[in-house]
Amino acid sequence: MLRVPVVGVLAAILAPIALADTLCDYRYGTYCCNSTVGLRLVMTYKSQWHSEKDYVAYRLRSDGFKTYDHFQPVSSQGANPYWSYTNSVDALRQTAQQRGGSSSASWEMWEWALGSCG
Amino acid sequence: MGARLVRLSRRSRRLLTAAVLVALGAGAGLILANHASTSQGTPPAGPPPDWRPAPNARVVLHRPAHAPPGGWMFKTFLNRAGWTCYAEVLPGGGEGGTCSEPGTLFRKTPLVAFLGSRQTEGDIDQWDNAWVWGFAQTPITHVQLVLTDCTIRDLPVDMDGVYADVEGPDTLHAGAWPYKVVGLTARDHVVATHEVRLGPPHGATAPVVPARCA
Repeated sequence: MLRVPVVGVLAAILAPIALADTLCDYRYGTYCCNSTVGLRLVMTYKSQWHSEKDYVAYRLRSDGFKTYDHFQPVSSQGANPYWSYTNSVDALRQTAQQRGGSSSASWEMWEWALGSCG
Repeated sequence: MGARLVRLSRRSRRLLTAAVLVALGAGAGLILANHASTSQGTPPAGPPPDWRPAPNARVVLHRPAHAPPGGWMFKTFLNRAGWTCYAEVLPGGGEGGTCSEPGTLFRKTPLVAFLGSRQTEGDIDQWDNAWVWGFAQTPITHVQLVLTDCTIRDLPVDMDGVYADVEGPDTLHAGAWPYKVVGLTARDHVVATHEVRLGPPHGATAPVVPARCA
């Protein structure tokens, strides 16, 4: 009889951990020729509770080079939580992960952005 | 034997009940903490901003006060809904940007600072470019960007409220990374300050800021 509440409580505690692992895009594909990648930076559950939230979005090549890294001061300075990135040059360009969400006190990346990758 | 089983069962139930109460308390605490910590800056509902400039919109290209060669610039315009749109234009790369609804850009501070960086080729432990730019509201007339070696870049705020700086490999590889921005009046009175510290690229460590820069 007690199993149900115990399972419920465990689910409530573990749910933030599951949500925190949502990625926008982690394939090393290519975005081509003036394509735009939109990233809506959405607050998710925090893994740390001691600071305000701000966000980063970045593009990481498969060889490890970060070709774009953007910091968006959403909670600390009130910036808009949306950010988009357009390949304005007409060239294939290996991509990318885009992730968002880090605390200003730590760069530990437990919270990913939920967003469109179209 | 049966009574013993019942006692054990009761004890187990008490233990389980206590565990459930503790877990409930912890869960409620986590949820409350989460609500408290995310209530500030909750993103607006709805789709991303309209990136299309308004008809006859004035698209302004802002050149950074200090930058390596390559054609770095920052772009602002009004979109069809009257929002202020702004983008960073990376030479040989792309454009990153967003738009802000009227009256929201300075809702928390008169000095808004965006921070970006990239690696091109070469040493994977080094940043090759870093840019700091943003908007400043009157009475701020210029912004000082302090690097981690205490170098100060004085950046004028233009008529659209934009200031901008780009650092190249010479600076960054020498360990001079962006550290903070200081918004000042024409008489050098400090209005606002924000730290703009880069995370290190993988495998590297960020430079330590000397006390004299703080």
